[in-house]
Amino acid sequence: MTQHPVPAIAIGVVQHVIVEPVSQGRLRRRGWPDGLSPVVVLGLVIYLLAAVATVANGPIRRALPSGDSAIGVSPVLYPIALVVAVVLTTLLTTAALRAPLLLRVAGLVAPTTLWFSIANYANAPVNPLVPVIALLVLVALVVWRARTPFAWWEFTVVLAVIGATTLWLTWEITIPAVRGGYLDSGLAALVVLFAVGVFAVPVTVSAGAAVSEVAFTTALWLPELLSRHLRPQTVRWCVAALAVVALVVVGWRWAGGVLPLRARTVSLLVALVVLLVSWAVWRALDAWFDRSPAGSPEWGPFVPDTWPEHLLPGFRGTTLAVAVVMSAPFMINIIWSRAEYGLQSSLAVLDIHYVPLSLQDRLGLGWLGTSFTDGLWPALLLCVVLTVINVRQRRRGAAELVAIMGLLALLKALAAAGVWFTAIGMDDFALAGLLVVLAVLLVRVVRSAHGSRSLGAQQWEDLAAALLLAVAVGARDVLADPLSLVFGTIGGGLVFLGLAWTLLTGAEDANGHSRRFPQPARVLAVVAYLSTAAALTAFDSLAVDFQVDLERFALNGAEICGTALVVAGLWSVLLSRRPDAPPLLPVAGR
Amino acid sequence: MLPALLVLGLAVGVQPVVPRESAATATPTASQGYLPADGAVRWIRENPGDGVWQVTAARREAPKAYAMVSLRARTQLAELGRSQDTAGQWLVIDALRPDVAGALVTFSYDLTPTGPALVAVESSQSWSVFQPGLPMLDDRLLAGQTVSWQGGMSISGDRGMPSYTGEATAEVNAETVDGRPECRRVVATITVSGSVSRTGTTWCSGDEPGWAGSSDGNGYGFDIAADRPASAPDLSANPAPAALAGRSRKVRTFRGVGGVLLEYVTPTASQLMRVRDRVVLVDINGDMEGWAPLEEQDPAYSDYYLAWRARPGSAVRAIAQQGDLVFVGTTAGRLLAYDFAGRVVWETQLEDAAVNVQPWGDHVLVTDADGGVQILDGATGAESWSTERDNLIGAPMLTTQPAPGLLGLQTPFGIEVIDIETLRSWTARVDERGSQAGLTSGLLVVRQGNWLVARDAATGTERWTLLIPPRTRMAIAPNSLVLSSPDVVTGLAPDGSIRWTAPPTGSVLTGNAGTLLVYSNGLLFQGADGATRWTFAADLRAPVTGSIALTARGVIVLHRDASFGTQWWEYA
Repeated sequence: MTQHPVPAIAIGVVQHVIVEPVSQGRLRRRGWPDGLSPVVVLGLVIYLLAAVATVANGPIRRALPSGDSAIGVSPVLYPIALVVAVVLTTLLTTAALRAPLLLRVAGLVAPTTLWFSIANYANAPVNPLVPVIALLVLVALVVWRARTPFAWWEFTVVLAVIGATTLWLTWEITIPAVRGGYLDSGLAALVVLFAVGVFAVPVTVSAGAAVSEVAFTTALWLPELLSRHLRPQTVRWCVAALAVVALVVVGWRWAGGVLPLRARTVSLLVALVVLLVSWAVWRALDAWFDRSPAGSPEWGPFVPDTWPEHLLPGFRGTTLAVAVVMSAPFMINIIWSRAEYGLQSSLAVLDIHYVPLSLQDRLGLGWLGTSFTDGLWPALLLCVVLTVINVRQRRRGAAELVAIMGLLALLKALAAAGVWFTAIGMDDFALAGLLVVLAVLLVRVVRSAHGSRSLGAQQWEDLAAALLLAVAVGARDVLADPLSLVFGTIGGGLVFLGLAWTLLTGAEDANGHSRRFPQPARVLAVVAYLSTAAALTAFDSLAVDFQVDLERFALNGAEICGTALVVAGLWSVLLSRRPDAPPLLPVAGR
Repeated sequence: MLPALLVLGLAVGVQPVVPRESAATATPTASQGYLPADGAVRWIRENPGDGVWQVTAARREAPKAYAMVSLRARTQLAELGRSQDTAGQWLVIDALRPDVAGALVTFSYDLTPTGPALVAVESSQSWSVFQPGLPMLDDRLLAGQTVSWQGGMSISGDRGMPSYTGEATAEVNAETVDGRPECRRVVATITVSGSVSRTGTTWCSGDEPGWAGSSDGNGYGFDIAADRPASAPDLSANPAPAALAGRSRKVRTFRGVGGVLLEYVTPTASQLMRVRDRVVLVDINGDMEGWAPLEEQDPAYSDYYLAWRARPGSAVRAIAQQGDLVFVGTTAGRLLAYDFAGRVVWETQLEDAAVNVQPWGDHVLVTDADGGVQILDGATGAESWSTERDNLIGAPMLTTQPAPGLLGLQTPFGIEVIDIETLRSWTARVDERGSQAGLTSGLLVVRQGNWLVARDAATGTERWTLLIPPRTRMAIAPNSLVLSSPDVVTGLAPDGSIRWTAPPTGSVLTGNAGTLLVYSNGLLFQGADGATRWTFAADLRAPVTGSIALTARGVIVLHRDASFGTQWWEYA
């Protein structure tokens, strides 16, 4: 019996876009040492509960006693937040026992930040002996355990040290403050959770970018599946229909903007210029690689990593690196201000008096912008460095991808600095991309009609993929908005979907192993950082009003890294393929 | 297993962090069901005078509640051996007679593990304190036993000074109330130096536990009898302040206790609001106070006295004012309308926590955390229109032009401008990030990037556009539009032309009477008649926007001083 093409295509999309990435990228228990599974399960339980709380935030908030918290977080959530913060901090620190330097530093700074956040509420000097001893024990553990294999008791010991110290500070500071009526326990719940959650900000940025992967793979697989299940003539009609529908939808969105036509036209032209610059960068790198004597002779000028499916494997790692650098000023600013507030009462004993400030205010760097936008410049610098590194390593596609990320980071940094014509929206990008693809489509169809270069099935597939990728530039909010309807809060969708997708598909590296970063530490790091971000998202959605606004971090990831992936994919399908080139994707089942 | 046990131990260990709802919650007793909820409002009839009093119950942490007892009464409590409580909760009952100026009686109960114990009764006419607290409700009393009390008592005399401080005894009994089987009247017969007086409290259980005080010895006798008294609030706009002269003076605050006005510790608040000639303070943790002006005693000062206190229950998330009323929305989802005298004119329960309240002519618009938007009659609280947007961004926007008005709701899909009479709407697609929008003078004004766009609010037709400097913020009110850039503050007319300019500041407060610009060293008020400037005293820090109110006398500002104390100043 012949299968109807529509369900077959739908099943194929689900299979290739959802099922395959999950089966390839999920955490695998193979090779885990004894004692790791319960710790991972603990972290995943927190993730799961956080996901439930995010989805059901309204009913949960209404079911809990409101208390008199100014931000509307029920006081009964404070102990829960504290326990979750302790467990997540323990996971971060345990993962840091045998990890690269940056994770080790984060693993030691996280509990310190948590303790500073509690000490912030002290109205009398706090004896620093207990937290100092606890920190020294953790430092000793990090040094001692660095070159030893994972042992089941490590988590327990770290939990005991962090838990006991936190409990002691709670008894000394928090309980008297709550009973004295001068501590808003709802606010305190979010403060202690954010003390840990600040370390998950880079994960939130990369989660925002991860959503673009779904749009990216859908755009690549859908034309492929159409070709498999439909006649070539039908595929051509589908492409034509898609072009019309895309132009109407994207054009309608663009034309409906509130800005005057001349402003929108300027933004559209800037978006076109940015796309053309990205095209020029792509071609320049292509030309450089093609001329390079170190190019791969067996593949000719078309090195495989410029094909769309080869852009994805390195995307997560690059995005995370950019996310860490982009978030660093914000994170350092928060950690610094926690330290200043936390130490204030203890330093007063030494006759050191000061008004606590953030690092940015302390250094008088407010003119730079906010600590959130400050990260765009170092992110740009990192992109330049990574481009050079990838060029030197002959990784053409990775170099081109990260160069486009840098271009988009520059655009956003200029917009944040107030350069008016650089503040362009995703609708401008989507229409600019669509116009470019339609121009290419028109040229190719005209050429084909004149017989100078015929359009084969593969080329129609490529054009369809390019059309879908152009639409995908602006589809980020389409993906997030229906979820926001479910979650009842703007932004919940993008962060939640991104975190879930990262957890389900982003563990490929965690399943690996190296001497410097062994598998148990990788697994713990993945679970710890994702669960921390999920917990912060949950409390954010449970609060009536919370100022952290994780959505802006996820949006930066989506708009810089995610858009770069889609634009790179666009040039990949339009430029990196020759009529005689092999198919973009595996042809099994065709 | 060990990690799980450790997590469990940690969870148990941090449980005491949860604030106690009451002592009765910590140690369940039969009296628990008789205690009123935080923020509960009741009306009681005064037997001798036949006036209707409004009673507001408030739960407060012990240190804060103790600090609210007047200094004179606290001094006497200390003399009787009471130290300031550092933990636990108190039940504070404010009985207010809104139609009589200064008629405010406060009963302060320590919620001990066995039940509430009366510590202080204070009114503008008299005060009395008990140490230890006089047990006014516990299991023994509910079981029909007589409870004997022996301790110290202090009673006010002339000019608020104590007339007696010393030993006292009391026999406390609970009796049934005719026609109210759910109620118990607890009466304490107090003997002081051979003379006998009686004080009592009526406690009622049931779905809505209630309270009625009876302090016969001090002249009060209250019954739970009266329904909410009828009121007809005037919702016309407050008159603009008299001509401003650039004069500033410190504000002193007083409280009438025991027949005299005592200078009161300067109250702090997160929001100030003017209601007629009163200043209403709202602290986000849920305390409200109404302050009324006193006749001028010293030209160097502007004096106010505490006219009323209230606690709506839970935290105050949203407030707004129109005419006689101040509308208060709480995190527990209550919306209450208080008049200038502190009377609760109406209250209603929302689906979720209130996040925004705005006046709209003689109506009020309230938004809850679930995206519910309701328009209520300001005078009665009756709902006249409602809608729901699950993904609402920011506060709804309002304009009364063209009448009866338009409502703007921003979602990720854009700003939907709705005519609530015809329900016709149009949508402006706005990038939700980096943009600001508002309705004013019949216009929808959007700042997006470096563009300011004004569209006709009714039709969506573009009226005018402006290219504005980078990092310009917009402050918008029903009839004013102000742009604040790093170089200049500009007031715009509805046609986009410049009305006035001022030196740059990031703190701009727009209102119907004009625009107040807050600088680090002073204020500038830009009204219809021109600009008025004031300079702050040397040790004062710049106020935050919420702690400023434009009153009939001028601008009242809540300052922090150099030593982190609080000072009120009036700029007239």
